[in-house]
Amino acid sequence: MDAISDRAFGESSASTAANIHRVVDETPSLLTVILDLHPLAWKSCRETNDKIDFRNVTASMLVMMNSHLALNSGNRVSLYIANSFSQGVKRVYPEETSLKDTILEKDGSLLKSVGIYGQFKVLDENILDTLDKLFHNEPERLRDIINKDDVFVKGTITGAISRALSAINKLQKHEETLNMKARVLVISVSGDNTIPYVSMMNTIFAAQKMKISIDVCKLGEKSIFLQQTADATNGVYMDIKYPNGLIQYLSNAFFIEPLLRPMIVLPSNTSVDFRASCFVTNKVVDIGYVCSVCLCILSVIPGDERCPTCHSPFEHSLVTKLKRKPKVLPLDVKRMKK
Amino acid sequence: MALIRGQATHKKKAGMLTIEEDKSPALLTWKCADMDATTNTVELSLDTVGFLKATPETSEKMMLKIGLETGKEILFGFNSRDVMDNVKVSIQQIIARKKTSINMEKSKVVNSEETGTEGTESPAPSSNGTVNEKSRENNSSTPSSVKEQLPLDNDLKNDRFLAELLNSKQLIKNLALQQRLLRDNVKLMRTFTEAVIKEGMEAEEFWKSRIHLLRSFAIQNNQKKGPYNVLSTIKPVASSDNEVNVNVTREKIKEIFKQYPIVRKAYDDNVPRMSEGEFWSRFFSSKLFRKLRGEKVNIYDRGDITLDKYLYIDPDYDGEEEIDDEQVINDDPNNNDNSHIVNNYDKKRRKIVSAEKMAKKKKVKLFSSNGAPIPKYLDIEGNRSDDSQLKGNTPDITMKDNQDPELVGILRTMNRLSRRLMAEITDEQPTNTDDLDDEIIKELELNDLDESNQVEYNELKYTQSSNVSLNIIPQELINKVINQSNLNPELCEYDLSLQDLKDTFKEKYDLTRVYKNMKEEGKKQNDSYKDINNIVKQNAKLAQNNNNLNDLLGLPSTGNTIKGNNNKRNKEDEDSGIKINLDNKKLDSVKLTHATSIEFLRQFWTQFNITASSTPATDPNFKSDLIKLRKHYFSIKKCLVRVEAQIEDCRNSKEKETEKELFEPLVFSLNTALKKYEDSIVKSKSSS
Repeated sequence: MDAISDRAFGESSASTAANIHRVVDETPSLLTVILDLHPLAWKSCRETNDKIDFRNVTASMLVMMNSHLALNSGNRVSLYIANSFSQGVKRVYPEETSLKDTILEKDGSLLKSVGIYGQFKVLDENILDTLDKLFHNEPERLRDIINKDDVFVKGTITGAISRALSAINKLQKHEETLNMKARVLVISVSGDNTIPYVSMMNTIFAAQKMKISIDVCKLGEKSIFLQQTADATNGVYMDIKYPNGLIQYLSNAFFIEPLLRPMIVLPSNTSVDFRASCFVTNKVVDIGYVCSVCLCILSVIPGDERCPTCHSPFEHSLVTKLKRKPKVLPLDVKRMKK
Repeated sequence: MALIRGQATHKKKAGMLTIEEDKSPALLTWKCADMDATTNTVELSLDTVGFLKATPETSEKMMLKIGLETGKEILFGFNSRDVMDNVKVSIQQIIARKKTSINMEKSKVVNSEETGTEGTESPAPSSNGTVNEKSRENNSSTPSSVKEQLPLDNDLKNDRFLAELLNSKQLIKNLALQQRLLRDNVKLMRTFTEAVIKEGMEAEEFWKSRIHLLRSFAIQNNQKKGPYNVLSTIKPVASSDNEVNVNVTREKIKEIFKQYPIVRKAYDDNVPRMSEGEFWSRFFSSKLFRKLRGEKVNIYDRGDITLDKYLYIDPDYDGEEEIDDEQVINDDPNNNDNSHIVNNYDKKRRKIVSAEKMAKKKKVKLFSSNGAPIPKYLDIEGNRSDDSQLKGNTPDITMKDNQDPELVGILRTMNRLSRRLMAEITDEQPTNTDDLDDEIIKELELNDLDESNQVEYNELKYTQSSNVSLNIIPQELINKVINQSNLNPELCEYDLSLQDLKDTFKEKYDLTRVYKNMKEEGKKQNDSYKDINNIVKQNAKLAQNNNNLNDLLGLPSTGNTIKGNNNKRNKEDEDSGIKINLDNKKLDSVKLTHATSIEFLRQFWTQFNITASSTPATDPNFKSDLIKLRKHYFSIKKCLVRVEAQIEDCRNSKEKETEKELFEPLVFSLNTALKKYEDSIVKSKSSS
């Protein structure tokens, strides 16, 4: 419960704002980007808004990462992918060892690199190559994935954030980069149905405790869980209205260093939808039931009258009471009088 | 200080001048040294002094002229400036005192006119009960007939009364309280008039859904201020013309009497003799006052001769003996009944008995006034922690041999006061002797050899049953893919999309295009820039509002948890993101319609849920409840009509658009309620 009560973001802001001049923005920081690859979501995104384009998004993302590196020689970046279905969460940059094994035959670099700054070139090429490899490894047919396993979709956004957070934790414990500031940016296209609610909440609490802000750049439909994530971690949540100007969003709204957060008015949407999702159906609930033991949220009364999460039995009489159908009189007044 | 004496000449004759302050009115006498002189004594009562003139310090002569109100002037000459100053100062003080006492007299008249009931009756302190009553009358000087009827105006000493007051049923019946709340809360009043008075909703139902408001209001109005150190709040202010102005309200005087029995005693002893105003002006310039306030009293300070006597009375004087006496006599049931057969022996015996009783009471009192529920002989830990010497420190400040007695005196006074204040608070707790015995027994029990309780935990088995995979890929798609024949399968959405993504990397990336593309598309960059800017501006405004509000309330700015009434309108308008171009009148009527509808919705859902969970067997009023619910249904329908009428009432299409937008969520919820009801009808038909 510590994690929940530790809403340190708001409260510490006053004190940090006072000493901020001493820390100055010279301290290097880490930018971790999580890229959502959900193929179905990408498809529906492109169908609803033809301005959303995977190529543009990756290019803008690369430019943003370059800019982050340009700010400070000590700055670092890393990139994860999520929702890739068959492969799970993978770290694209710095490249994971498992990915290094696959070597693609190709002619030259994927980047037009004339006149580009050397460090950027290395980074961008690296990322593009790895992404290419990843897609190369991805089975072409959905049936290939489904036939394999029962749990065939791996690597949700939650998983990616968890991995990013553990990497940040490791980094912050390392001697050279002790207590390095870090932030996470999620570029998401998929909806709330792809997010396991409980894991998401746990991730949020972890990020809160680590005082790491999670920014959300949302393409396509709104996500209330990601709204909650950003809200709880003092991050920025934005629905991208003009995907063509994505680079403007990335280099402006999502470019706020952790140290500057207490001083800056965030371009976040303030009206946050705080609804939770049903633990059984995974759908967002307006009015539902809550298990009095484990607080799990239900939109339906389970048939076995037990909590599906903690298995505590529910009181039978109560359940029957809840199950009772509403009783009303017909609208016809005359008939009622009989 | 009783006498101020000095040599003075009057009409060129040497003599001795004396001022007797403790007489009332104070007297100035001059006796000629030469007994045979024609005017060998002069006597002045100082309350007739009109003015006073003395030769300035620069002058060689030392003369003091006293002008009487009758116009007569008397001249004294002195041969020592010290003596003259002394006389001058004391006369000045006496005059000042007289003036203040006259003022007090006047203000008292005004005061008693205000309170009405009190009249000119002398405000001699009586038992605590009447003191409270009077102060209350002072409180309610604002005319409110309602207030007096309310039971909540009684001093609620006991929790039971409070509990009764907060009982939901009582609250609903408490019409006076409701009226007062309505008068207090304009917004609620409007909803009330609209829903109850105009639309005929039953008042009881209106309040049923607002019991929390009533309850908090009742509590708010019943909170009482605890005792505090009254004297420290009184600050005499010296004004230019020798007047000492002290602001004392009647309540404060009561409090002083309560907290300082010694002042009460002084008052009792003196007031018939001197006027009330004089008493207080004397009191505020006395050493007694300074001592009771906890100030350091300087021996050379001028005090007040009559009141400073009380400095030397036992500081623990509680002024309770008389009351105790009375009680003891009243307690004795034989006292009145058999008075005719009482013989001497009986009388004596009774005296002894009552004396014993009194002693007992005093003992109990002493015990409780110490505020020590733990017997000292058992409280080894407490004794040890009290003894600072054990830890190698110097003894407690009050325990040192060479300690300044003044300082210790002040500390003692303050401690005494705190004890008295505390005693008053803990009064409400039962100090039954039985309980004390129990406590002692409990303390004597040896618990450490008992078996300690094992804390038992209930194991929770956590499983996350939802399969995310099935959520991510729609079931139909999976079925479609699985059921396809292996030969020449059709490409599904996923496959197409993935191919697309794979193809992304066939072409070379040119990062310079990122900005160029955007520019070529027109002002796309500008659009997104504006988008960000708008949000920032909105947030900045919000943050500022919150900060301002927090500043006003003296709170740290911790986010948007607090919403003040002032800011509410702005906030709502900004949150909705709709530009509201309505004039205030229109907006108010929209708000009113909205509030009323919400009220009816609330009633509907409450009733709906009640009937849903009850059966004819469990609820005797089931049938009437059903009828009620149907009434609510029709009210909701009416609400919908009203909303439409409101929208129709607009002057132009622009206004109409705005109102429509504003009402959209409301219409949705109204329709939801109607639909839910209608759906339930069908079900009940099919089941019956």
